[in-house]
Amino acid sequence: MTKLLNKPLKAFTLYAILILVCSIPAYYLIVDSIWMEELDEHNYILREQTQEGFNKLRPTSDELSQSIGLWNKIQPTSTVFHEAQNSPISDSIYTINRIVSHNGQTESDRFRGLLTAIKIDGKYYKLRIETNVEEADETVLAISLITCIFITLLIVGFILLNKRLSKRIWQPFYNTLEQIKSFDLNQSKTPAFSNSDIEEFQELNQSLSKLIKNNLTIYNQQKEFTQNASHELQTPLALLKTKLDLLVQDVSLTEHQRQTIETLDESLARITRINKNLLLLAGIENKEYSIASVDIKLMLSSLVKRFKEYTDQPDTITEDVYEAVTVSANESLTEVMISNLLSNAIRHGSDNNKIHIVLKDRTLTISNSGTTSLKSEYLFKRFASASSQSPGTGLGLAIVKEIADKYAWTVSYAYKENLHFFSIKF
Amino acid sequence: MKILIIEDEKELALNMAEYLNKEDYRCEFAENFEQAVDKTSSFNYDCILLDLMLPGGDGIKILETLKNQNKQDGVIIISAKGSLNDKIKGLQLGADDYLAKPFHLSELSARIYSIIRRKQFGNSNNLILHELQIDLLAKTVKVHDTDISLTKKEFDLLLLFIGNKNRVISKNALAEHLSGDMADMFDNHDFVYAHIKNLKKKLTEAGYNNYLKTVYGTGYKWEA
Repeated sequence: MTKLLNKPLKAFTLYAILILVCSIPAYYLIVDSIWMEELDEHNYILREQTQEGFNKLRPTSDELSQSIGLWNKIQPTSTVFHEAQNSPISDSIYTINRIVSHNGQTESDRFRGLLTAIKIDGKYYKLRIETNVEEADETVLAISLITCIFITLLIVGFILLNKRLSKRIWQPFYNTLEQIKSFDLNQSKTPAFSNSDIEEFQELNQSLSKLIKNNLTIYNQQKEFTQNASHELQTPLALLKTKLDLLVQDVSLTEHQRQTIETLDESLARITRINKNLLLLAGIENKEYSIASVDIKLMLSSLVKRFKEYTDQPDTITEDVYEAVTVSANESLTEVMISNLLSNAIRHGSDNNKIHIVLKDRTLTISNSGTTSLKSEYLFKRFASASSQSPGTGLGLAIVKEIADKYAWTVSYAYKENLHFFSIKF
Repeated sequence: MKILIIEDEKELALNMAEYLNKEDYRCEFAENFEQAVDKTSSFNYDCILLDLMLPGGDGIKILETLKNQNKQDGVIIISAKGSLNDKIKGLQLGADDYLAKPFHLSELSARIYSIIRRKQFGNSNNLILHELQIDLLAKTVKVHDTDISLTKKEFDLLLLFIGNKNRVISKNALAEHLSGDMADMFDNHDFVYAHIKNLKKKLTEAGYNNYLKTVYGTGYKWEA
């Protein structure tokens, strides 16, 4: 995954490199043509000076021949030819590479030449002026070097600017992102987006606020519905239950009728439990639960004692509690959570179930015998385990998860060596 | 014994009364807040069954008034709210017990029985039933003057039976009684069988007159 800002940075950088590389030949051509023009001008000036110099001398033809010889010796870049002509010759301009040696070294130099004629005493003498020009490859090299330095400067600048931009300009966006990340439907805290002077961010924040508000409304309605529905069910359920209680008192009932009533009674008991658990589940998120300091170690031992009273094989539960853990939570809810885990371990254990309880490192682990690993992704979902075969309500572990989430405890499940492990990290 | 049933659901009130009438209790009814205030202020009851959600007012106010008037009526709150906070609040205000809807009539009867016993006999709460002697405070049981050591659950079961003499108690009612407040407790009847079997065995060994009868297909009955 790349960051949003890195995408345009890449494109901008590539484009800048492309343009700067293309600029190298362009610069070269421009620099070279300016060079040539200047040198041509320079060569013409030299010609004028040469012509003027010779004419000032007003030499005789012998002197002239001597002067020309002397001139050619001391001015190696320009050569005056001895042959005189009566008519002027047309100028020609050229560029040429010559092998030149100076200071004992020979190298190829580039020259800009002018082949022309100067007029001395009414006669035309051919004149060749050649001026050293910077070689093409040297020019290209120099331009490339400079360009490379600029490219580097640009890229470094882009990266630094990009960093600053992402920190400054994109800050509202990251703020919003952080708010959404920490948003939880269960906690009735709505994220407060800060105002931004950037239109897109402002629009984004407004849309998100609207979306979250709608979701919260629907969520609360749903929660309220569950709660109200469960409440409303309590009275008709009570009616059914008491009617059945009265019915079984009838001595004239046949055995078949009694069995029918028992089946009804069992189903009713199950509905009652599901309803009670739904009510509890819907109520957990309400903030109405008071918080106190709860001694988990103490609670655990009293719960285990109570559980041992139910079973006729109290030896199945062994404890390994060697750490005092105190949490800040609602006592009743914490008790519901632990007792659900315990009854879960008792109910779903295989034959010869061994339940082991460990409390250490602020973690409560309850293990029981099992035959196959359970699917942990469904385990804590509502009604995920409920079926006509399973005796539970399918809500016990969902309640455990809900309570743990309320107090930011971590619930986990593992299966190792034929044992189911349920853990709560406080 | 006079019992006032404050409950707006008429049919439910009648069911309670029908069950309780057989137990020598006389039941009166109040269907709304006004009637409830009227009756509780004019008469004394051995036990008041108080539904918190009443047409015309909050049942908690009736409890508060009773306590302000220093009345000695036993009060059992019967609520559909079933929330832990309601329970704590009700008991703090001086209710003697709390029962969440829906409940079994045997459970209600046992609770009324225990409250009335407590109100009548105060601290010397010894119950004598033929050859059985039960000390409700010390939670000890004697048969023919021999001590029987019962577990807490067995003792609870015994009290449930004593509070529902000559009534059939279904296995589900027994299971719910045993699991008490636990949110997601067992529906497994094996636990019930095991405890009843042990209770019966201990009482029989001490020589009681086999009052605890099995009603096939339904549950158990204490015949006395």
